[in-house]
Parts: sequence; structure tokens; C-alpha cells
Amino acid sequence: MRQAIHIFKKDARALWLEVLLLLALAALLGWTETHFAGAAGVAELLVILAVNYVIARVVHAEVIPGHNQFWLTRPYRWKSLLGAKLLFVLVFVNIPIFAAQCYMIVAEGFSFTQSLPGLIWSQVLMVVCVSLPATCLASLTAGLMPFLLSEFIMVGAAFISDAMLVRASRSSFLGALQAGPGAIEWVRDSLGLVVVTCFALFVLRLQYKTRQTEIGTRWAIGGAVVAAIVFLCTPWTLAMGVQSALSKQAFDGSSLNVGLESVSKSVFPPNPVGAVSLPIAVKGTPASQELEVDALSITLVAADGQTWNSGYVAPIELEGGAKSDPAETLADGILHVDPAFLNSEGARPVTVHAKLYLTSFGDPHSVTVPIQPQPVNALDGLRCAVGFFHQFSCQSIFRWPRRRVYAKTGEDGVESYIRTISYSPFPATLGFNPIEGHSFPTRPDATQATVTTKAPLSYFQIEREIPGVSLADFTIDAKRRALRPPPLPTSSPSEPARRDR
Amino acid sequence: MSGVFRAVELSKSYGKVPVLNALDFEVPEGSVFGLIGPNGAGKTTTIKIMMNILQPTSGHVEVLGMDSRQLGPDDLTKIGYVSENQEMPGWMTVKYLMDYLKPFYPTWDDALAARLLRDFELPLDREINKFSRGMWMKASLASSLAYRPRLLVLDEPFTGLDPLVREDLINSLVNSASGTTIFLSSHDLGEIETFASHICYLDSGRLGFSEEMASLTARFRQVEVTGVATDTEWPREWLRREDTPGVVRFVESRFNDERTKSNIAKVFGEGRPVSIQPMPLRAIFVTLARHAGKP
Repeated sequence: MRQAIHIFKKDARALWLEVLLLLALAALLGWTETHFAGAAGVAELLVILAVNYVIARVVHAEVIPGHNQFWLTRPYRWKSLLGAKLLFVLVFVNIPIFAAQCYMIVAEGFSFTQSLPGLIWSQVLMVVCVSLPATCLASLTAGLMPFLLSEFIMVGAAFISDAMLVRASRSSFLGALQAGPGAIEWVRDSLGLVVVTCFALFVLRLQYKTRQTEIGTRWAIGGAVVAAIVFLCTPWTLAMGVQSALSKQAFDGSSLNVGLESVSKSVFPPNPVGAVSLPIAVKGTPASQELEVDALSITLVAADGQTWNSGYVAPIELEGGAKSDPAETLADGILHVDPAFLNSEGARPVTVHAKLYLTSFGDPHSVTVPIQPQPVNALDGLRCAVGFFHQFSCQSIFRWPRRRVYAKTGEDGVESYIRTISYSPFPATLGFNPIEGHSFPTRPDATQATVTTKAPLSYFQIEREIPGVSLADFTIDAKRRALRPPPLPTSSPSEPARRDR
Repeated sequence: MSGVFRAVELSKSYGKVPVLNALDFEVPEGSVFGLIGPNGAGKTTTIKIMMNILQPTSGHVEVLGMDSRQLGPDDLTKIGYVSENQEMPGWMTVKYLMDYLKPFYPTWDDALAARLLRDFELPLDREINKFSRGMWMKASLASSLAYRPRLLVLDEPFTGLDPLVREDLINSLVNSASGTTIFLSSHDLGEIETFASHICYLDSGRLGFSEEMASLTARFRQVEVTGVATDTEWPREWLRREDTPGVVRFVESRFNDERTKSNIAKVFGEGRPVSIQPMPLRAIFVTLARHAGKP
């Protein structure tokens, strides 16, 4: 430990200018996030670049690859050297960002003590997602240029992976490569990060202990490939299973009825060619609870036994974030049915076998707060105020609460809720800016708002069969026909009966 | 004397290119051991394997009684290393360099460090990257002598230095490294000759010879015979034959006064005027290098 501190002090002395730069940028980040949000993105980019630069510089103060380094023939202990580098990153990279986040929390009026778990978890994520991979990469490179080049390649590969994921989610062929609902993406992300962390730690140990860069590089590339595979190929059903295990209570789904609503209630699909929109209604939700359809999988069974499966479908919510009847949940499943199946079975009744992945929300808490420019504390760490265009906005620290948040402004206003939440049990998401905010539709004359939160209680799945469904009734053409205004009455006396109809 | 360094069947290849080929030699404790050989002979590779910077392909090296692959921080506190290729933390001043290194070495001698810096006349507050090559090498040597290492490894320390600096370095080695075994590779044979006690010759990764300097210089002689050689078989130990009208010159690599004169009589006939002169190390080196390392 004494040697690690000794090396740390040397690095601090050598890199004081770089440290100063990072401190200045962290201060700039704190200031822009709280006073000049328009420049916050630029500040974040500069901090990311500076973080990587400082990590590369400190690791390269004792370069691992090569045969001519000064330190190789000096009595350095590899654990001390690695410890010194990690300590430097912790003290001069993570702590300045931690301090900037503390400033943002206090400046935005959030409670520091309540924010502490999020602060700590945010730093854990920063270490795992940024510091550790960058330190690992720096240990495999002998200079700043190879480091930056490798980093650009890795970031490029990550973008390509992400693009593949988006593409896969539109492809019926790559059903196994689908990401699943956004609310449970944290499972896939966590698995990927565990892989990255394990490989990064292993490569760092290998590099500092044995300096076998060729082998270390192979392991690092292998780790990146495994992480990409985990990221791309984690079955969303597995993520659902993990989420299910985190249920607070069991839900008896036998009381739920599943049926199809009129096609007029469905949405226009983004890619309408060959699309079939099934507006699925789930009824019979117990009082004081609400349901969310996180995902669905549809199997169409023809009379002759021919089947077609949709794979994972992200349903489109049909109520625009405002629930009129809590006992009923409407979700639109847009299916791109195999054209051959649609042509042969479109006009004939088929059986719809629906597997629905649901979340029940309950345990409501409410509070009424004034709508005013100064934020006031609401529930679950939310602070709310009137924002741009007189919108009622709420902010949360490090992550939006793992709850449905409803707001109703005015006595007779419509209650609306924020749908895009994550079911992640962790207190923070990755990011420099710890503040996350959402706005609600607001009545202009409203002076107060009622904020209600409902916690996710249970994650479960149900399977139902809906026989006798004609797919032709749910195509885009059928929807157009359903929405077409009735023909104007004609003056022809020869068709009076038609008007009556 | 026991060995502080021993190469056993040491081989090293880069891919399919062999660099060292089954080297076997030993460096006695307390010696000043000069490793010489032409460029590409494998001197630096040998030293880097010795310092556990490179791994041997086969065979092994023992340093201070331990396999070089097992050399750890505690062992490195007893070994000094100075190389012309070594990178130094250029942002450090010499003073900071010495202060920084001191805690690494339990045997660090403050008085010796101060004396070395004084003798080398190094500017204490100047950054190392602003040093001339000579000052840079002095700083490197001072930082490697101050803890009185048991073994000091020097890889081409005199390359590119002016004669005054070379003399300073050699003086400091002689005065400050008493009791230290010095393992030195160099092209500067004139300097090595002044203080090396043992010489090892490498050529194309093969060991030419490894022996005491006194023995080496004793067995090499420049011979000049006035006359013409007869058809008698030319002894194998006679190297670099030069024939000029009336005079034949060669290098005797196994000089023994009685035997050499007897051989001369056999080859040239009795009563020929003969001149037999000792050879400097440089001349021996050139002879061996020209003879493809087969003395």
C-alpha cells in the first residue's frame, strides 16, 4: 500500500495539469447542468474526452507494452502499480464528477442524504462503464494515439451493435436477438456490464502481473465480443423471468379476460405494408390495481393447423398516457404477418393465441402540491414545478422513480401518467447529469396538482386464446374503412333505406 | 567465485528467426563482465532476458541464483540496470528522480547518492528531458548505483558519449561499484579493455567464447613472418592471413610461445624473421568478427 501511495503521489505531481483540466471541466459540467442547460451537452462531451485522456495519461506513465520502460527494471510491485493507477482514477476522475453531481443535487434543491444511494451507484456505474474499460484499454496500448484509435473502434463497434439491435427488433428472422421491452432492458444491460467488468478486471490483472500484451489483447477482444453477444442475444424472455422473480407479490391472472377491440381503436402502424393491428383489451383488473402490457407474443393458428408466430412484439399503448378505466388495459399489437399466411388465411377465421407479459401497479400514494415556478417536494423523491409553456414538470434524482407517476392539474383536469419507466431495482442510471425530468399536460388556470404514484407489484404472464378472428378485419385497409366518415345523404328517393342504416 | 548470472542452453527466437542459440556461460561474482559482439549478435536480447523483460524460447537464465522468469521486486532491489534504449521519466528533475526511487530500495545510500550527483555535476533542478545524452546517462547510472546493487547491468552505456563523459562513467563504476558485479555490453572495446575482467563474445546468437580478459589477451597475437609459406597445412588457430610480397601476417588465436614458434618453423621453415605482438581487444574483436566468430 505504501508503494501504491508513493506511485500515486508521483502521478499526481506529473499530471497536475491534466487533473486541473478535468477539475475545471467537472466544475463547468456542474454549472452548465444547473444554470445553462443548452451547453450541458458540450460540457458532458468535454468531460468524457477529458476522463479518457486523463486515464490514458496516468496508465501510460508506466506503459505496460514494450521493453524499454524505465519502471520495468525497478522494484515495482504489480499490485501496488495497479492500485496506484486505480486510486488515481478514483481520486482525480470519479471524485470530481461525484462532486459535480453533489453540486447539481444541492443546486436543484434535492436532499443530499436521500440522494446518497444514487450518488454511490452512479459512481459504481461510472467506474464499471467508463473508468474500468478505459483503464483496461490504456494498459493494452503504448501511447495516446493507439489508445484513442482503439477507443474509436470500440465505440464504432458499439454503435454498430446497437444498430443491429434496432434492426433485429424489426426482423422476424432474428427473433432471438430482440431487446424486449424498455422497462426490462436493465437486465440485458446489467448482464453485459457484468461481462465487461469481469473481462476488464481479468485483463488488467493479466497485464500488470505478466505484461503479456498479445494475450491480454486477445482476451480484451474476446470480452468485447462476448459482451456484444450478451447485449444482442439475451432473450427477452430471460429478462422477463428475472423481472418476474423480483415481484413483490403474486398476481392471480385467471380473473383476467383478454379480447380484441374494434380495429378503429388501433393505431396506424409505422410500417403499414402487410401490417395487422390487433387492439388487445385486458379486462377484469382488480380494484386499486392497474396493468401494463410490457410485451406480447401472438401465434396465429389456421383451421388447417398452419401457424405463424410473431415473436416478441412491443405493444403500443392506446390510451395516450391517460387512463379512463383502470380496470381495462388496451394495447395494440402490430404484427407483420407472413404475406403467404395472410393471403391464404386473411379472409378465414383463425385462432389468436396470445401470450401477454404484464405488470400490475398498485399501492398508490398521493399528494397535492401548488403549481409554482419554485420546485416543491412531491412523492418518492420527485420535485415538481411549472416549467416551459406552463407545463407541470417533475424532476427526480439519478433516475425516474420505479413507479407509475400520475399528475392531475386542477380540480377537473385529466389525470395522466408517465409510461416510459424502467423496472430496474438500482438507484441510478449511467450519466453525468443526475436529474431526470418529465412534464405533464396542464390546464392553464390550474393552481395545484395532485401527484400520485403506484408501485409495480407483480410481473407475470398470461396466455389466452381468441377464436374466430378474421385477420382481414384488422388490416390497415380495414382500419381506413372503419374510420372513413359515413357517406353524405343523397337526395335520391330510390334509396331511402340506406339512410336509415 | 560463484556465478551471479548463468545462461543455460539459452535460446530465443522471434517467430522463426533465431536470435540466441543455446548460449552457455557464467558471470562470476565480483567480475566486470564484458559482452561483446557485432550488431545483431544478441547482446541486448540476452540482457533483456536476464532482466525478465523478455522470456527465453528455451533454456533459462539464472540471476542471483534464481530463474530470471521468477525475478520479483525484491530481487530487483539488488540489480541496477542502465541501457542506452531505456526510457526515463523526462518530466522529473534528477533530485526528484532520486527522491522518488529512494523508497523502493532498502539499501539506498544517501551519502553515496549525494556524492554521485556531485561527482557527475548534474543540475539537480533541471528536468531530465532537457539533459544532454551524457547527463542523461549519468543520471541513469547515479540512480542505479545509489543503492549499491549486487549486480549492475549496463547495455551499451557508452554509445554516443564523448570521451570525457565516458571517463566519468568508468571512474564512477570503478570507484562506486566496488563489490558489485558489472555485466556490460558495449561496442566500445577500448573502454571495456581498461576495466573488464572477463569477456564474452557473441556472434549471430552463438557464443564465440567466454573467458577472463587476461587469458584472452594472452592467447591472441599479431604475427608477422618474413618469407613465404610452404605447402604445409595452415594451423586452424591462425586467422586473418594476409600475404604481401615477402611478408605474411596472421593472428594467432591460441598463442603459446613455444608451440607458436614451432608451428611457424613448420610452415615457413627455420630461421625466418618473426614479429609477435600482443593485440588490443579491438583488434581481437575485428579478427573474430571477420572470421565469422570461429576462433
